[in-house]
Amino acid sequence: MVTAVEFLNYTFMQRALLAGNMVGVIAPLVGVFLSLRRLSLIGHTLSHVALAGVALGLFLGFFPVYTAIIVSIIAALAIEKLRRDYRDYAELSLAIILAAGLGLATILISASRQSAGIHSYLFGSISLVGTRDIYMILPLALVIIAVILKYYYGFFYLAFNENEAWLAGVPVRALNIVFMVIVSITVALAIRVVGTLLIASLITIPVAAGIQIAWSFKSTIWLSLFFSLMAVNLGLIFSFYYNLAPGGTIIMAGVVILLLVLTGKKVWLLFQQKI
Amino acid sequence: MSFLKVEGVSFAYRKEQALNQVSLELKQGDFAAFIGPNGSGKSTLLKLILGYLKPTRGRIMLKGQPVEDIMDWSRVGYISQQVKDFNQSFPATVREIVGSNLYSKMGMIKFLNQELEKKICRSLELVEMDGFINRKIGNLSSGQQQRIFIARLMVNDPELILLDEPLAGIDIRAQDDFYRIIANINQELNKTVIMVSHDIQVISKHANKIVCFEDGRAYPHCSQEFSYDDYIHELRRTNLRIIPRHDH
Repeated sequence: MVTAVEFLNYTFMQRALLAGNMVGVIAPLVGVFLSLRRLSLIGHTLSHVALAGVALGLFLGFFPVYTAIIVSIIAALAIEKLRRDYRDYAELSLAIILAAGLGLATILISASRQSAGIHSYLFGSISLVGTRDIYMILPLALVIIAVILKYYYGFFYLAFNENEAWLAGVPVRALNIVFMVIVSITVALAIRVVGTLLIASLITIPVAAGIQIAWSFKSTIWLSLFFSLMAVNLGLIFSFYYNLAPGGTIIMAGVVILLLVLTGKKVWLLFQQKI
Repeated sequence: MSFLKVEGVSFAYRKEQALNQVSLELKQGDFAAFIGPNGSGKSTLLKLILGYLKPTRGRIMLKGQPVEDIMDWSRVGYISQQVKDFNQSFPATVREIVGSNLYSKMGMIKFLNQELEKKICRSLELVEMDGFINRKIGNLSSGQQQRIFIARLMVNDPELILLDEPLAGIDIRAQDDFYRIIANINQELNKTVIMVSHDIQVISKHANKIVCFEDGRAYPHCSQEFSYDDYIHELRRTNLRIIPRHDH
């Protein structure tokens, strides 16, 4: 008998759901701080750099997610340095690093003998989430959650007013570096689930929906987490039943949620006006 | 011992001299007004007192300690000119905004505990905003927001309060409330206040010391001896908007 939860009988789906949900937690968690600091473009840039890391792994014969993490962290630290040194041209430096990442990725993919595998890293592939991925995603995701909890108000102050955070004793420089490292790890870990091209969307879309109806910073985080997990689980289930690319399905589920939230808010405001 | 001592301080932004041999002294509980045209060095001196900039010459002492040696900046509260330029749709409550300034007093995990929550409540009572703790900061008026920023500053119980043109863009009624609250903090809690302002007429009613800035030089006066007409003359010379004087 085919049941509604048939997908849970498959080991690859169990692994995909576990990996997807962990990524579904950390992506909006870093996404809230990233979006409110108006640094969403950093997520997009790092995803392209992570692609170069994947291509490097395929080229050298290493596990691509390892090389993606290392290359992303190096790029993130470079972005942070450029962001500090060229405050007025921060976007320009991001565009340069994005272009360099993509250029390097293209060269390495064309030079690699295993370039056929790159497709799964571009768009995500649930069937390819292996035990090795789980062993890496799980502890790193827990570390990221722990770091955000530990420095919660430090990251909050940086998001609200980076220039004055030092007056409250926030170690601005150190926390900025820690933040960039966790963003780059999040991006690299999300590769397997949504693919490099769609990571930035998973980081921003649930947050965009959360901000619309949040009544506090804490509620923004909880709502973003809720919408993200909803998008990840609906997306994975739909991709299983209809044989769709999981990355695209997850992001489209997120977009539908965002549209529903925006419509719901509009209707609620009209209703309030009539009362 | 003076509370704050500025001794022969000079500062230059690259080659442009912003402050030239400025000296002044404040006692604990003083309310000093820094007045003068744009670019005369008022805000630069505040940033030097904060240790945000380092003087090219001279030194600044806070309670006998050079400001560059101060590690605990919660002793000094600061409201910058840009404080109101935050993202008005930032989804944070008054509790979160005021509480964030207690970062250095939070434990290992940087969250608010009950003791810190009490400090937030006391600070909000001080600025008469205790009913607003769960309100979103962006939903408040600019005058109310300004009071929240004073609460954020006062939550650390600072000894010195620096206010850099805090009343720009705030209506007259909210300005009166602001002065009433600052006067209370200055007189009842004996906090030393330095405020940069262009509104000479109003600030001279509240401050007990007026420091006039012009071309990077500072001229300290006592407010009682402060010659308003002399200063108006200086303002005319520098083409600044002149506020008509009412007799009072």
